[in-house]
Amino acid sequence: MGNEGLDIGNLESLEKSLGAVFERKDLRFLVVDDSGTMRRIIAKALKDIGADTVVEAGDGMEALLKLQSAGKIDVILTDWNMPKMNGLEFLKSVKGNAAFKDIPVIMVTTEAEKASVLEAIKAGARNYVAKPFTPDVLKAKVEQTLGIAK
Amino acid sequence: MKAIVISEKQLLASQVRQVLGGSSGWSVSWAANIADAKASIDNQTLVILDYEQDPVVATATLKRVQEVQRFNDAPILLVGSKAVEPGLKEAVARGANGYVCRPLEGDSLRAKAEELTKPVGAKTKLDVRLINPFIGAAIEVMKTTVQMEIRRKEIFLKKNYRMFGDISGVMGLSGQASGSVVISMPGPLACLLVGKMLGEEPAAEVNDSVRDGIGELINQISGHAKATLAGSEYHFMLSLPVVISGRGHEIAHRTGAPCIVVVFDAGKEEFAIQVSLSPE
Repeated sequence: MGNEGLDIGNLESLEKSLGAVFERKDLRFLVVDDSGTMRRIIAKALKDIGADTVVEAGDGMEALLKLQSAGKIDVILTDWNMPKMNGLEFLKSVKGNAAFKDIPVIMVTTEAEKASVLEAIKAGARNYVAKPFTPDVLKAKVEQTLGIAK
Repeated sequence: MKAIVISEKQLLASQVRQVLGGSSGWSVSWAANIADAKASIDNQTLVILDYEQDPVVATATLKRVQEVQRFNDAPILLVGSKAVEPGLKEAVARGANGYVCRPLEGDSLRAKAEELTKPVGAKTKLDVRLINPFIGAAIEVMKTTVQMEIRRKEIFLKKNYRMFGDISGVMGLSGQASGSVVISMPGPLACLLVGKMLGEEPAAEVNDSVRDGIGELINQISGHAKATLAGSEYHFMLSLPVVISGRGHEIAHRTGAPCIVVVFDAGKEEFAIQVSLSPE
Protein backbone atom coordinates (compact mmCIF):
# COMPACT_ATOMS: atom_id res chain seq x y z
CA MET A 1 0.00 0.00 0.00
CA GLY A 2 1.36 3.37 -0.96
CA ASN A 3 0.64 6.76 0.43
CA GLU A 4 -1.39 7.93 -2.58
CA GLY A 5 -4.26 10.12 -1.57
CA LEU A 6 -2.91 10.98 1.88
CA ASP A 7 -2.53 14.65 2.60
CA ILE A 8 0.51 14.89 4.88
CA GLY A 9 -0.28 18.49 5.73
CA ASN A 10 -3.76 17.58 6.97
CA LEU A 11 -2.43 14.61 8.93
CA GLU A 12 0.03 16.82 10.78
CA SER A 13 -2.73 19.26 11.52
CA LEU A 14 -4.96 16.43 12.79
CA GLU A 15 -2.17 15.02 14.99
CA LYS A 16 -1.53 18.46 16.42
CA SER A 17 -5.19 18.93 17.13
CA LEU A 18 -5.58 15.50 18.76
CA GLY A 19 -2.41 16.05 20.74
CA ALA A 20 -3.84 19.28 22.03
CA VAL A 21 -6.77 17.28 23.42
CA PHE A 22 -5.13 14.17 24.76
CA GLU A 23 -2.02 15.73 26.22
CA ARG A 24 -4.19 17.57 28.68
CA LYS A 25 -4.19 16.01 32.13
CA ASP A 26 -6.40 16.59 35.12
CA LEU A 27 -9.41 17.62 33.06
CA ARG A 28 -12.11 19.15 35.25
CA PHE A 29 -15.69 19.67 34.08
CA LEU A 30 -18.74 21.42 35.49
CA VAL A 31 -22.03 19.77 34.42
CA VAL A 32 -25.20 21.81 35.01
CA ASP A 33 -28.56 20.11 34.54
CA ASP A 34 -31.68 19.93 36.73
CA SER A 35 -31.99 16.22 35.87
CA GLY A 36 -29.74 14.01 37.99
CA THR A 37 -30.16 11.31 35.32
CA MET A 38 -28.70 13.59 32.64
CA ARG A 39 -25.85 14.67 34.92
CA ARG A 40 -24.95 11.01 35.43
CA ILE A 41 -25.16 10.22 31.69
CA ILE A 42 -22.95 13.21 30.82
CA ALA A 43 -20.49 12.49 33.64
CA LYS A 44 -20.13 8.91 32.44
CA ALA A 45 -19.34 10.06 28.87
CA LEU A 46 -16.81 12.59 30.19
CA LYS A 47 -15.06 9.97 32.31
CA ASP A 48 -14.74 7.89 29.14
CA ILE A 49 -12.69 10.63 27.52
CA GLY A 50 -10.47 11.04 30.52
CA ALA A 51 -12.23 13.49 32.80
CA ASP A 52 -10.48 13.63 36.13
CA THR A 53 -13.22 15.49 37.99
CA VAL A 54 -16.87 16.19 37.16
CA VAL A 55 -18.49 18.79 39.38
CA GLU A 56 -22.31 18.78 39.23
CA ALA A 57 -24.93 21.49 39.76
CA GLY A 58 -28.73 21.36 39.46
CA ASP A 59 -29.31 24.92 38.19
CA GLY A 60 -27.45 28.06 37.12
CA MET A 61 -27.45 29.57 40.59
CA GLU A 62 -25.88 26.49 42.15
CA ALA A 63 -23.41 26.33 39.25
CA LEU A 64 -22.18 29.88 39.93
CA LEU A 65 -21.55 28.92 43.56
CA LYS A 66 -19.72 25.76 42.46
CA LEU A 67 -17.55 27.82 40.11
CA GLN A 68 -16.47 29.94 43.07
CA SER A 69 -15.56 26.93 45.20
CA ALA A 70 -14.57 24.09 42.85
CA GLY A 71 -11.19 25.38 41.71
CA LYS A 72 -10.04 25.14 38.10
CA ILE A 73 -12.75 24.14 35.57
CA ASP A 74 -11.72 23.35 31.97
CA VAL A 75 -15.16 23.11 30.34
CA ILE A 76 -18.72 23.84 31.43
CA LEU A 77 -21.62 21.81 30.00
CA THR A 78 -25.01 23.30 30.76
CA ASP A 79 -28.66 22.56 30.09
CA TRP A 80 -30.97 25.42 29.06
CA ASN A 81 -34.32 24.88 30.81
CA MET A 82 -33.66 24.83 34.54
CA PRO A 83 -35.30 26.33 37.62
CA LYS A 84 -33.96 29.38 39.52
CA MET A 85 -31.45 30.40 36.83
CA ASN A 86 -31.68 28.94 33.34
CA GLY A 87 -28.74 27.94 31.16
CA LEU A 88 -28.74 31.09 29.02
CA GLU A 89 -28.76 33.37 32.09
CA PHE A 90 -25.98 31.25 33.58
CA LEU A 91 -23.96 31.47 30.36
CA LYS A 92 -24.30 35.27 30.33
CA SER A 93 -23.23 35.43 34.00
CA VAL A 94 -20.14 33.32 33.27
CA LYS A 95 -19.18 35.42 30.26
CA GLY A 96 -19.72 38.60 32.24
CA ASN A 97 -17.38 37.50 35.03
CA ALA A 98 -13.69 38.25 34.45
CA ALA A 99 -12.61 35.20 36.47
CA PHE A 100 -14.66 32.70 34.44
CA LYS A 101 -15.23 34.27 31.02
CA ASP A 102 -12.50 32.22 29.31
CA ILE A 103 -13.95 28.84 30.35
CA PRO A 104 -15.54 27.31 27.24
CA VAL A 105 -19.24 26.58 27.66
CA ILE A 106 -21.14 23.85 25.78
CA MET A 107 -24.95 24.03 25.77
CA VAL A 108 -26.45 20.52 26.13
CA THR A 109 -30.14 21.04 25.67
CA THR A 110 -33.45 20.14 24.05
CA GLU A 111 -33.66 23.74 22.78
CA ALA A 112 -32.43 22.73 19.33
CA GLU A 113 -34.10 25.36 17.16
CA LYS A 114 -31.79 27.46 15.00
CA ALA A 115 -32.85 30.66 16.79
CA SER A 116 -31.94 29.17 20.19
CA VAL A 117 -28.56 27.92 18.96
CA LEU A 118 -27.75 31.36 17.53
CA GLU A 119 -28.84 33.07 20.74
CA ALA A 120 -26.55 30.85 22.81
CA ILE A 121 -23.59 31.25 20.43
CA LYS A 122 -24.13 35.03 20.45
CA ALA A 123 -24.07 34.95 24.26
CA GLY A 124 -20.70 33.18 24.17
CA ALA A 125 -21.39 29.43 24.02
CA ARG A 126 -18.46 27.62 22.38
CA ASN A 127 -20.43 24.58 21.25
CA TYR A 128 -23.91 23.10 21.19
CA VAL A 129 -25.23 19.56 21.73
CA ALA A 130 -28.92 18.91 21.04
CA LYS A 131 -30.73 16.33 23.17
CA PRO A 132 -31.21 13.49 22.50
CA PHE A 133 -27.55 12.71 21.78
CA THR A 134 -25.36 9.63 21.73
CA PRO A 135 -22.28 9.51 24.00
CA ASP A 136 -20.10 9.61 20.85
CA VAL A 137 -21.60 12.94 19.76
CA LEU A 138 -21.05 14.44 23.20
CA LYS A 139 -17.46 13.18 23.33
CA ALA A 140 -16.73 14.59 19.86
CA LYS A 141 -18.10 18.01 20.81
CA VAL A 142 -16.11 18.08 24.05
CA GLU A 143 -12.90 17.06 22.29
CA GLN A 144 -13.53 19.66 19.60
CA THR A 145 -14.11 22.30 22.27
CA LEU A 146 -10.97 21.35 24.20
CA GLY A 147 -8.95 21.49 21.01
CA ILE A 148 -10.20 24.96 20.26
CA ALA A 149 -9.70 26.03 23.83
CA LYS A 150 -6.03 25.03 23.92
CA MET B 1 -70.73 1.55 20.80
CA LYS B 2 -70.11 -1.29 23.22
CA ALA B 3 -70.75 -1.41 26.95
CA ILE B 4 -69.90 -4.14 29.42
CA VAL B 5 -71.82 -4.44 32.67
CA ILE B 6 -69.85 -5.97 35.55
CA SER B 7 -72.31 -7.16 38.18
CA GLU B 8 -72.93 -10.36 40.11
CA LYS B 9 -76.53 -10.21 38.90
CA GLN B 10 -77.48 -10.35 35.26
CA LEU B 11 -80.48 -8.13 36.03
CA LEU B 12 -78.46 -4.91 35.80
CA ALA B 13 -77.17 -5.88 32.34
CA SER B 14 -80.73 -6.53 31.20
CA GLN B 15 -81.87 -3.13 32.49
CA VAL B 16 -78.96 -1.36 30.79
CA ARG B 17 -79.62 -3.27 27.55
CA GLN B 18 -83.24 -2.11 27.65
CA VAL B 19 -82.17 1.52 27.97
CA LEU B 20 -79.10 1.69 25.75
CA GLY B 21 -79.94 -1.07 23.26
CA GLY B 22 -82.34 -0.70 20.36
CA SER B 23 -82.55 2.82 18.93
CA SER B 24 -79.59 4.07 21.03
CA GLY B 25 -77.46 1.58 19.14
CA TRP B 26 -75.42 0.15 22.03
CA SER B 27 -74.33 -3.46 22.22
CA VAL B 28 -74.40 -4.47 25.91
CA SER B 29 -72.61 -7.50 27.35
CA TRP B 30 -72.48 -8.87 30.89
CA ALA B 31 -69.68 -10.22 33.09
CA ALA B 32 -70.26 -11.54 36.59
CA ASN B 33 -66.83 -10.40 37.79
CA ILE B 34 -63.62 -8.73 36.70
CA ALA B 35 -62.00 -12.05 35.75
CA ASP B 36 -64.82 -12.74 33.28
CA ALA B 37 -64.69 -9.16 31.98
CA LYS B 38 -60.93 -9.13 31.44
CA ALA B 39 -60.97 -10.84 28.05
CA SER B 40 -63.33 -8.34 26.44
CA ILE B 41 -62.69 -5.11 28.35
CA ASP B 42 -60.11 -3.88 25.82
CA ASN B 43 -62.56 -3.02 23.07
CA GLN B 44 -65.36 -1.49 25.13
CA THR B 45 -66.67 2.06 24.79
CA LEU B 46 -68.05 2.11 28.35
CA VAL B 47 -67.59 0.00 31.47
CA ILE B 48 -70.59 -0.08 33.84
CA LEU B 49 -69.69 -1.37 37.30
CA ASP B 50 -72.23 -2.41 39.92
CA TYR B 51 -71.03 -0.65 43.08
CA GLU B 52 -73.74 -2.10 45.33
CA GLN B 53 -71.41 -4.29 47.36
CA ASP B 54 -69.16 -4.33 50.37
CA PRO B 55 -67.14 -1.05 50.25
CA VAL B 56 -63.77 -2.82 50.49
CA VAL B 57 -64.69 -5.23 47.68
CA ALA B 58 -66.14 -2.38 45.60
CA THR B 59 -62.94 -0.32 45.96
CA ALA B 60 -60.77 -3.31 45.06
CA THR B 61 -62.94 -4.10 42.03
CA LEU B 62 -62.68 -0.52 40.73
CA LYS B 63 -58.91 -0.68 41.13
CA ARG B 64 -58.77 -3.95 39.19
CA VAL B 65 -60.91 -2.50 36.38
CA GLN B 66 -58.42 0.39 36.10
CA GLU B 67 -55.47 -1.99 36.12
CA VAL B 68 -56.96 -4.20 33.45
CA GLN B 69 -57.86 -1.20 31.26
CA ARG B 70 -54.43 0.43 31.38
CA PHE B 71 -54.35 2.79 28.36
CA ASN B 72 -57.71 1.74 26.97
CA ASP B 73 -59.83 4.76 27.65
CA ALA B 74 -63.32 3.35 28.26
CA PRO B 75 -64.90 5.49 31.00
CA ILE B 76 -66.12 3.72 34.15
CA LEU B 77 -69.73 4.41 35.13
CA LEU B 78 -70.82 3.20 38.56
CA VAL B 79 -74.31 2.11 39.54
CA GLY B 80 -75.46 2.07 43.17
CA SER B 81 -78.34 2.99 45.43
CA LYS B 82 -78.75 6.33 47.22
CA ALA B 83 -77.58 4.54 50.38
CA VAL B 84 -74.08 4.04 48.91
CA GLU B 85 -73.86 7.50 47.27
CA PRO B 86 -71.00 8.71 49.55
CA GLY B 87 -69.01 5.65 48.40
CA LEU B 88 -69.86 6.42 44.77
CA LYS B 89 -68.52 9.98 45.17
CA GLU B 90 -65.33 8.68 46.76
CA ALA B 91 -64.90 6.25 43.87
CA VAL B 92 -65.19 9.11 41.37
CA ALA B 93 -62.37 10.84 43.26
CA ARG B 94 -60.33 7.63 42.88
CA GLY B 95 -60.69 7.41 39.12
CA ALA B 96 -64.24 6.34 38.20
CA ASN B 97 -65.79 8.75 35.70
CA GLY B 98 -69.34 9.08 37.01
CA TYR B 99 -72.26 7.34 38.67
CA VAL B 100 -76.01 6.91 38.42
CA CYS B 101 -78.28 5.92 41.28
CA ARG B 102 -80.87 3.17 41.43
CA PRO B 103 -83.65 2.98 40.50
CA LEU B 104 -82.24 3.37 37.00
CA GLU B 105 -83.90 6.07 34.93
CA GLY B 106 -83.56 5.63 31.18
CA ASP B 107 -83.00 9.29 30.35
CA SER B 108 -80.33 9.91 32.98
CA LEU B 109 -78.45 6.69 32.08
CA ARG B 110 -78.54 7.55 28.36
CA ALA B 111 -77.39 11.12 29.06
CA LYS B 112 -74.57 9.95 31.33
CA ALA B 113 -73.39 7.34 28.82
CA GLU B 114 -73.32 9.96 26.07
CA GLU B 115 -71.55 12.50 28.28
CA LEU B 116 -68.81 10.07 29.35
CA THR B 117 -68.10 8.66 25.90
CA LYS B 118 -67.80 11.99 24.08
CA PRO B 119 -64.11 12.86 23.47
CA VAL B 120 -62.87 15.77 25.59
CA GLY B 121 -62.47 18.99 23.66
CA ALA B 122 -64.74 17.64 20.91
CA LYS B 123 -65.98 21.16 20.14
CA THR B 124 -62.47 22.33 19.21
CA LYS B 125 -61.13 21.68 15.72
CA LEU B 126 -58.36 19.12 15.76
CA ASP B 127 -55.38 19.31 13.43
CA VAL B 128 -54.00 15.78 13.34
CA ARG B 129 -50.73 16.99 11.78
CA LEU B 130 -49.57 18.23 15.17
CA ILE B 131 -49.24 14.69 16.52
CA ASN B 132 -46.60 13.52 14.02
CA PRO B 133 -43.71 15.54 15.50
CA PHE B 134 -44.45 14.01 18.92
CA ILE B 135 -44.54 10.47 17.50
CA GLY B 136 -41.24 11.09 15.67
CA ALA B 137 -39.74 12.63 18.81
CA ALA B 138 -40.74 9.66 21.00
CA ILE B 139 -39.22 7.18 18.55
CA GLU B 140 -35.99 9.19 18.23
CA VAL B 141 -35.56 9.81 21.97
CA MET B 142 -36.20 6.16 22.80
CA LYS B 143 -33.69 5.08 20.16
CA THR B 144 -30.95 7.54 21.13
CA THR B 145 -31.33 8.05 24.87
CA VAL B 146 -32.76 4.66 25.90
CA GLN B 147 -31.32 2.54 23.06
CA MET B 148 -34.71 0.94 22.53
CA GLU B 149 -36.68 0.52 19.33
CA ILE B 150 -40.36 1.22 19.90
CA ARG B 151 -43.37 0.80 17.63
CA ARG B 152 -46.48 2.96 17.39
CA LYS B 153 -49.46 0.82 18.21
CA GLU B 154 -52.61 2.94 18.13
CA ILE B 155 -53.86 6.51 18.17
CA PHE B 156 -57.17 7.68 19.57
CA LEU B 157 -58.95 10.76 20.87
CA LYS B 158 -59.16 10.69 24.62
CA LYS B 159 -62.56 10.69 26.26
CA ASN B 160 -61.40 11.80 29.67
CA TYR B 161 -58.31 13.21 31.31
CA ARG B 162 -57.42 10.33 33.58
CA MET B 163 -54.25 8.35 33.04
CA PHE B 164 -53.95 4.78 34.21
CA GLY B 165 -50.19 4.43 34.18
CA ASP B 166 -48.23 4.15 37.41
CA ILE B 167 -46.03 7.11 36.56
CA SER B 168 -46.44 10.10 34.23
CA GLY B 169 -44.08 12.84 33.09
CA VAL B 170 -45.92 16.06 32.26
CA MET B 171 -44.60 19.00 30.23
CA GLY B 172 -46.60 22.23 30.13
CA LEU B 173 -46.48 24.03 26.78
CA SER B 174 -47.12 27.75 26.27
CA GLY B 175 -46.55 30.47 23.69
CA GLN B 176 -48.18 30.60 20.24
CA ALA B 177 -49.80 27.27 21.11
CA SER B 178 -50.48 25.98 24.59
CA GLY B 179 -51.43 22.75 26.30
CA SER B 180 -49.45 19.82 27.61
CA VAL B 181 -47.75 16.61 26.63
CA VAL B 182 -47.70 13.61 28.95
CA ILE B 183 -45.84 10.30 28.90
CA SER B 184 -47.42 7.61 31.05
CA MET B 185 -46.38 4.04 31.73
CA PRO B 186 -46.41 1.13 34.19
CA GLY B 187 -43.81 1.27 36.97
CA PRO B 188 -41.71 -1.71 35.82
CA LEU B 189 -41.33 -0.18 32.33
CA ALA B 190 -40.28 3.16 33.86
CA CYS B 191 -37.62 1.33 35.91
CA LEU B 192 -36.40 -0.54 32.81
CA LEU B 193 -36.18 2.59 30.61
CA VAL B 194 -34.31 4.66 33.19
CA GLY B 195 -31.98 1.72 33.88
CA LYS B 196 -31.18 1.56 30.16
CA MET B 197 -30.62 5.33 30.01
CA LEU B 198 -28.03 5.00 32.75
CA GLY B 199 -26.58 1.70 31.56
CA GLU B 200 -27.48 0.13 34.89
CA GLU B 201 -29.71 -2.63 36.23
CA PRO B 202 -33.34 -1.44 36.51
CA ALA B 203 -34.48 -0.26 39.95
CA ALA B 204 -36.75 -2.71 41.78
CA GLU B 205 -39.47 -0.07 42.13
CA VAL B 206 -40.22 3.51 41.16
CA ASN B 207 -37.90 5.76 43.17
CA ASP B 208 -36.59 9.35 42.91
CA SER B 209 -34.04 8.37 40.25
CA VAL B 210 -36.74 6.74 38.09
CA ARG B 211 -39.00 9.79 38.50
CA ASP B 212 -36.13 12.05 37.48
CA GLY B 213 -35.40 9.92 34.41
CA ILE B 214 -39.04 9.99 33.27
CA GLY B 215 -39.01 13.77 33.67
CA GLU B 216 -35.96 13.93 31.40
CA LEU B 217 -37.64 11.70 28.81
CA ILE B 218 -40.69 13.98 28.50
CA ASN B 219 -38.32 16.96 28.41
CA GLN B 220 -36.42 15.50 25.46
CA ILE B 221 -39.56 14.38 23.60
CA SER B 222 -41.17 17.82 24.00
CA GLY B 223 -37.97 19.61 22.99
CA HIS B 224 -37.52 17.46 19.88
CA ALA B 225 -41.14 18.06 18.83
CA LYS B 226 -40.78 21.78 19.57
CA ALA B 227 -37.92 22.10 17.10
CA THR B 228 -39.99 20.32 14.42
CA LEU B 229 -42.99 22.59 15.02
CA ALA B 230 -40.92 25.81 14.97
CA GLY B 231 -42.42 28.28 12.55
CA SER B 232 -45.87 26.65 12.55
CA GLU B 233 -48.99 27.83 14.40
CA TYR B 234 -48.22 25.11 16.95
CA HIS B 235 -44.85 26.55 17.99
CA PHE B 236 -44.62 26.49 21.77
CA MET B 237 -42.28 27.17 24.68
CA LEU B 238 -41.31 24.50 27.22
CA SER B 239 -41.86 24.71 30.94
CA LEU B 240 -40.14 22.43 33.43
CA PRO B 241 -41.23 18.78 33.57
CA VAL B 242 -43.36 17.51 36.44
CA VAL B 243 -43.58 13.82 37.34
CA ILE B 244 -46.65 12.27 38.96
CA SER B 245 -46.77 8.73 40.30
CA GLY B 246 -49.79 6.81 41.59
CA ARG B 247 -52.36 4.74 39.77
CA GLY B 248 -55.33 6.43 38.12
CA HIS B 249 -54.08 9.97 38.57
CA GLU B 250 -55.82 12.71 36.67
CA ILE B 251 -54.00 15.10 34.33
CA ALA B 252 -55.79 18.41 33.84
CA HIS B 253 -55.36 19.78 30.32
CA ARG B 254 -56.17 23.12 28.81
CA THR B 255 -59.96 23.34 29.00
CA GLY B 256 -61.71 22.49 25.77
CA ALA B 257 -58.64 21.29 23.86
CA PRO B 258 -58.81 17.85 22.24
CA CYS B 259 -56.46 15.25 23.60
CA ILE B 260 -54.73 12.70 21.36
CA VAL B 261 -53.30 9.51 22.82
CA VAL B 262 -50.62 7.47 21.07
CA VAL B 263 -49.85 4.03 22.49
CA PHE B 264 -46.41 2.53 21.79
CA ASP B 265 -45.09 -1.00 22.10
CA ALA B 266 -41.85 -1.05 24.09
CA GLY B 267 -40.70 -4.64 24.32
CA LYS B 268 -43.19 -6.56 26.42
CA GLU B 269 -44.83 -3.43 27.80
CA GLU B 270 -46.75 -0.43 26.49
CA PHE B 271 -46.57 3.26 27.21
CA ALA B 272 -48.71 6.17 26.07
CA ILE B 273 -48.08 9.73 25.02
CA GLN B 274 -50.96 12.13 25.42
CA VAL B 275 -50.88 15.45 23.58
CA SER B 276 -53.32 18.29 24.15
CA LEU B 277 -52.30 21.40 22.25
CA SER B 278 -54.13 24.21 20.52
CA PRO B 279 -53.09 27.53 18.98
CA GLU B 280 -53.82 30.71 20.98
